[in-house]
Amino acid sequence: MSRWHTVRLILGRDLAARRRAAAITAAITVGLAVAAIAVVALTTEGQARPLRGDEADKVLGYIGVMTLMFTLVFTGQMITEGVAEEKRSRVVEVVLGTVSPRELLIGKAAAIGLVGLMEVVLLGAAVAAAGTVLDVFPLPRATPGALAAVLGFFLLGFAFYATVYGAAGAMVAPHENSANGAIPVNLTIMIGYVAGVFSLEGGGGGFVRVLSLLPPTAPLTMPLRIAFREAPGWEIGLAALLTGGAACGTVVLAARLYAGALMRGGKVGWREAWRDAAHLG
Amino acid sequence: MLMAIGRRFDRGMLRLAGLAKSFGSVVALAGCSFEVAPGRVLGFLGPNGAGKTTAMRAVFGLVSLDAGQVSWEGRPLDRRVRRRFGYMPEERGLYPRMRVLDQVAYFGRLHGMDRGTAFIAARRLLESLDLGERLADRVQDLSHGNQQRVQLAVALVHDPELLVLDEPFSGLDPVAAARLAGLLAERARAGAAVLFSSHQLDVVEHLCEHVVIVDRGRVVLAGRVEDLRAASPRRYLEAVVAGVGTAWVEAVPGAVVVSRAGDRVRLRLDGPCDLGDLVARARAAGEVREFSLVPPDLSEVFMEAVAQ
Repeated sequence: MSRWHTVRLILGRDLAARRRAAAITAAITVGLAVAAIAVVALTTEGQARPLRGDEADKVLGYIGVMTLMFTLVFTGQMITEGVAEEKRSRVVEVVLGTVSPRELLIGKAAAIGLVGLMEVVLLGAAVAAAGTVLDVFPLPRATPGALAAVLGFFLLGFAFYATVYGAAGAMVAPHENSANGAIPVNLTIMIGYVAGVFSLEGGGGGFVRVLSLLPPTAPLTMPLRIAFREAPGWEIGLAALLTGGAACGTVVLAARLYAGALMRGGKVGWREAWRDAAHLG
Repeated sequence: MLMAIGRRFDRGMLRLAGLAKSFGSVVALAGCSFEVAPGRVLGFLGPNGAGKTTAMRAVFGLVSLDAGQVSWEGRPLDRRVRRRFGYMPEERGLYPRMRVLDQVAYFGRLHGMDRGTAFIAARRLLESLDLGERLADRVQDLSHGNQQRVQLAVALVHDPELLVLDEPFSGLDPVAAARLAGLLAERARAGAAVLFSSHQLDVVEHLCEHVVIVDRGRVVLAGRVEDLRAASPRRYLEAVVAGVGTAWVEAVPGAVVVSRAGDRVRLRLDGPCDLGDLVARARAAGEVREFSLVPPDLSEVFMEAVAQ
């Protein structure tokens, strides 16, 4: 049985466990969004001319990083809670008797991540469709390059942060609210987002350039720089490479912290978790 | 050549060699070594905190050992080999909202069974554990006893070659305990190596033939229960004299009262003791219903071993 088969099994179980809750959440959010658009459609007249070119890319960039931030904070919390729940119910000791912590973490983060992504895609599609059909707003006609950049960095950022949230969940004490564990990660993401938006509106510069190259903030700032036509090609490539590499790195690091922390009772510090995981790699 | 022969003799054999582990200043294992042979139910006994759970976790790679090694059929363990093991941890845990059959089949698949085989095996096993009516129930809706059975099913579903159960008898009534013991014996007869732990030496001495007794992270006794008991130089006297209580045994030289309840008394005979005198005392006191000289039971053997 291969590694990926195990990951697929774990992913399948976690998806199945969340099917119902995900369907309900999706139905409610999509329903509310479409209803809101319908109300707007009834109270306003006609639509403006659709944005094209530079303007459209900027709007897309803003929407892209904002969606990434909200999706991460929303989904990340679910990953943290999913991992903490498995630790709380102590089933993790049975699972880790056969499955490596890395497989467990990847499967779990991927499953919950997929649920979160599907919900965002559904919501986005519903909003876009309702907006167009009800003649409320025109979709910006962004250039293919900007669209690819936004989507690409969205996925990279998602991969990078999903495992970090998982490790955070493993280090939460059983009686503690798992949301506490996600706070430091949420803060990092929000700081990246806010710093990116503000410094770009202030004219960009060296600060945002550094942020857009480094993995923790690149997914939240680079799409904006691309949309503002400020990023040379090599910088985009470098940022993507660094973030992709870092995402692979965080899987390994987070799995080790996760392994070291899962078998311990109380709240676990980074150092202890790291030291105690030597056997579980 | 020698290696090959060694391997053949090691077939289905788990070996723990010199395991050591400390948690800060607390020593859990201090050079713990023993073997679990196929076709045998081995009781892993010892008081609370003796290191039993740590040793069992080490078999599944859940503890970073300070020293020592666990091997299977002469080779160090890896994850592929561990798939053929079954584990029931001391801290029981299942997915609370998952349905019973799905849960057991899921663990079967994690152990490498394909989907169809896993579901068939899970269903058959659960039915044999009297859970046939509860297959579609969520685990959280089951009673504690039934959850325990599901936990057992999770450890057994893939027909493991080695079964490791941490305190499987805790919380079971005598009937359930005897049933579980029967089930484990059945697995052993089918060729599996079975290792279970318990801190209640008196409860399990009748449930397994072979034991390893640990104390403070070290093996203090190992072997067949009968041999261990017989090997002890000490003898105990168990007597019931009807209706007179136990006052008649006071001040017998060379004998210590171990326990008394109603008319029943158990004496430890520390040295050569005048049995004739004891018989005479008992008869003088009243009607003798029981009077027997017995080897120590397992917990007494343990006490003797630890006292040395």
